[in-house]
Amino acid sequence: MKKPASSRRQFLRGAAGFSLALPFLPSLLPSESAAQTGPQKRLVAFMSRQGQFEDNWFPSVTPENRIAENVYTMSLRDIPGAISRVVDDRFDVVRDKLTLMLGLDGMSRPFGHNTCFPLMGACPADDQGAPPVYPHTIDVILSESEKFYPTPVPEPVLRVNPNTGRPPSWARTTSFSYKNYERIPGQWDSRVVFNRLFGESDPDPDMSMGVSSRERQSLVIDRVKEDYDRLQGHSRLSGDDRERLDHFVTLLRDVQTRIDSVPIISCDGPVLRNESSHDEAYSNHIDIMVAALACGITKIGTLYCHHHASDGRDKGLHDVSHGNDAVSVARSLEYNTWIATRFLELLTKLDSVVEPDGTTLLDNSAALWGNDIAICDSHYQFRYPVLMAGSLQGALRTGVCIDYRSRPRRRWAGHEHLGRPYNQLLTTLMAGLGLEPGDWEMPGTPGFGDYSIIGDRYADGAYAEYVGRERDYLPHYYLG
Amino acid sequence: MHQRFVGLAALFMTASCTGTVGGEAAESPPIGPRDPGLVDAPECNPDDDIVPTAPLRRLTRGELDRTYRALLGANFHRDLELEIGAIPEDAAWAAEGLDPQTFSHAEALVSVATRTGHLLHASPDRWSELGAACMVDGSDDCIDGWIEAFGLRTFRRPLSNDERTQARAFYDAAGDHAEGARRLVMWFLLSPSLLFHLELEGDEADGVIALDDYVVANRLSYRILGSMPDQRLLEAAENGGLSTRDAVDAEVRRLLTDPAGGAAVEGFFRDWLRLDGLEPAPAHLAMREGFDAVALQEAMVEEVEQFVAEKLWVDAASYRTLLQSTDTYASDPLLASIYGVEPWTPGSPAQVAGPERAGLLTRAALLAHKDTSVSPIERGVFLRRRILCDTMPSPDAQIVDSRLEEVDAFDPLTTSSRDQIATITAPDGCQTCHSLINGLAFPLEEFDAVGRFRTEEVRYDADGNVTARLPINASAVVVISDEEQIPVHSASELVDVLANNDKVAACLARTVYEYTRVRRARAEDSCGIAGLSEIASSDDPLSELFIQNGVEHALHRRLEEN
Repeated sequence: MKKPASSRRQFLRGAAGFSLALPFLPSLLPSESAAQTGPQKRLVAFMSRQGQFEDNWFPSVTPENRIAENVYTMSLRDIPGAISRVVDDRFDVVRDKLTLMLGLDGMSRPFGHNTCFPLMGACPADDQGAPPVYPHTIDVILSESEKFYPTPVPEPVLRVNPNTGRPPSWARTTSFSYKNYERIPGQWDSRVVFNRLFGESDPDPDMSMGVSSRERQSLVIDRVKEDYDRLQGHSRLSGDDRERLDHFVTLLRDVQTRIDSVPIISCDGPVLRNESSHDEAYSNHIDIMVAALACGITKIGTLYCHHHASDGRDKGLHDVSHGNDAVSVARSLEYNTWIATRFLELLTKLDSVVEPDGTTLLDNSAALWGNDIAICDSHYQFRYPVLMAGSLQGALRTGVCIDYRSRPRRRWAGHEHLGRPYNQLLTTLMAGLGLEPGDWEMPGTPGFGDYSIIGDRYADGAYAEYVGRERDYLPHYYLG
Repeated sequence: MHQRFVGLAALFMTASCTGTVGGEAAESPPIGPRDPGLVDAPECNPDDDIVPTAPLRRLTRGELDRTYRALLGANFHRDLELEIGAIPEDAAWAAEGLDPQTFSHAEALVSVATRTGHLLHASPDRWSELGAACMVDGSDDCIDGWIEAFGLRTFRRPLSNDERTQARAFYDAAGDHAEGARRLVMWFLLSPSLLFHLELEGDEADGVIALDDYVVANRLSYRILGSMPDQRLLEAAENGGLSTRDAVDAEVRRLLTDPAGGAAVEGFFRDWLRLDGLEPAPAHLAMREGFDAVALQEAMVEEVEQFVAEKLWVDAASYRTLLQSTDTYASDPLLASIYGVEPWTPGSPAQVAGPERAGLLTRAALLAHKDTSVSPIERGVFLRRRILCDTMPSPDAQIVDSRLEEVDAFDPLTTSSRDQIATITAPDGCQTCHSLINGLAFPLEEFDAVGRFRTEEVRYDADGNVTARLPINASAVVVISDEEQIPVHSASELVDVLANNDKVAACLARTVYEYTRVRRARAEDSCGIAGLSEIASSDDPLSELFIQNGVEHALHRRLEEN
């Protein structure tokens, strides 16, 4: 792929004629080492907001092929027409590479909008203001594992939260990842991400007196750090003030490290579009993510789909998510159809990248689409709607709908049709990506995450059959 | 107790909010003063203007944005839009204080500096935009002059001799004018003197730091404009013209006549009333009645801003009047119809709504932004927290869950929202909090989901057909404190109670004080808040509260840290 001669700022500002982005070609893949060792396994997580209505998300038919106790399945091909209203017939191009799961229940306290849910499975609602009950999301655990990353990569996790213009709120600059109980920022500006991952175009337009842009930045930051160090000694600063300044110097040092470590890579990035709407912003971020995954810049990508259609269709969706009437269901479908378009774009682009062994990037990935509240109206995280794609090189079963709901129906506190802990999906993914229980478990505590609902471990016995089975992986889905 | 403390003390007289449901302890923290230490503050000495040094604070994103614009000019500001836009948004409510800086902050700030340097290097003629056309070639005199002049504006004070020398040395080290100038710009833009509110100047005597005119200029400018001092302020500081209360008072009034000054005050109201978080009317309602929910939402916000601006700057109204006035400024026909008036035309007198539309708290924007089914409690909590400054803990989720299980038992055809809430919150454990919430919420049941006055609550089925009309009961007992419980029968009566209550005035004073300082109040702030509280509870123009807040802050002296 040839990079344009103009600056990337021009693309963002509306220069015409630079809309070429995909398909990714095998020639984009530069790594001879990849051909020698085989393709890497990757994880992609995609989160939307405001939940799903069951009528929109679930198939019109129920799996009836009994595999084991409380494990029923059916082929996605056996579903007449589209898989569901949201996972509509456009997904047919990757239908055999999808896995739709029913009956994974969030172990959560309390219920509400839990943005860390897809990759942690348990945390207080965002509006509770409390930290999550578990320190890390699985992307963090994977990124810090030498098993997953035996050699460092430039961007251990690429976390994006696409937006156009400036991010108007906190929610649009964050990710859904947590490390040490703290939320990790996400990057909204595709140009910034591009420059970080693929470097400035060459020759360096900022080269002057033999000094490159990155060298100059480093020089200035060094000089600025001296000022901050000198200021630290001022007698009129309190200890807390000095800590604040020291914290900023640490951040500057981190920026400097990042600047210095941006790799010179041979894998060109995609050509970015003019972002006149959110659609283009998402496409730019998706292109960058797919290229980064394909080029070995990262093996984990998370995309926080905070919004929304460009035409304002997302307005009032919070109210819609609390509704239970036909109008709310219809509006949620309209919104989630837009979201589905973005997820499908991601899947098809992953599937368009042919790796050296002839498989596709999607084949070697596990891609997850979850949301922050599970089911609309109730906001209870039972029957969490999750769509998976990719088989992780055959470690995961695809082309099926698996129903983990209890038969006969088990109930708890007025909630019907319990399934099994969502945590099992997360441990399954980590296992599929090469980790073992010891890599994610807290000392002396088997499993991952929390296993409580509103404070009661296993909902006060409602999930008794899963007690002591925290190391189980999802049956029928995990193939090892 | 000193007279000035009456209103402030009222701020802390409140009922407790703990209890049990079904015999189980509810562990919510009690409602009460956000900082009990304030209650124990010493009596105010009118001559005492000394407070401990406030914690060092970084510039907010908004302050940075405006500072870059003032420092570099509109064209650079436009060209830096993406870089400045990458600076993380601060928490919506400044009074909570600022979050620590993150990697994204540092990355964005470095990007702003880098991009500015790039623009000047790529187009040297743009030096003229920075008032330094001679920098295209760069004689020695030009370099030194620019360091002096740009340094004064960037650091918002004159450079010290050391700083001047270091800047010149950094420039010289590049060995090339263009490269050196570029590095200098980047260095200035990443300086702690630009990015933080440093107050290190001023002579010390007996442990007290004397006022420095540049410190005063900075406090005035950032407090009122949210930006760096303008040329007049810097000149006043240079000439020692900011050392008297009269001089500072005059500057505050001048700055507030600046559109940016007025906008900053209106920004306070926008944040305080959470107007930026306003959601459109429920979709099903908009579809049923055939209006554009987003357009109506925008009109509602605009009307509140107009209402506040007219009352503050045109009518010189008191806080009491702001809370009680039936004037409306709805230029949008649909919103005007909601108020029952003709559309207002800018420049013309206000339209006057009926007596039920009493002041700020019954603006449609404050009534319409929540889902109909949950708005009563949220309306009550909003008033409790924002208008009365009470801590209102979130309820225990398990208790809420157990109570909500009763919702299905209600017959929607016969049970109003008020009655449902009253029943659900009836247990003693709920009432300890909800007796404080419901009394504020129920009178506002006179307004529907778009802020229309109503006498009936209309129920619909899923197809939009009317299934029931239930009479509105707006009577309630408003609990201000354990000692102050007042029956009301309408929203306008509720507003009258609030508008004449010292606790409400003290709450506004404290809120303005904290918001403009971007931090929580401490015991040492009590005197300053008490002074503002007196204005808020009087018939004086509310604008005086903002003026005096600016003056007091600019003139306080600090204790030596060590």
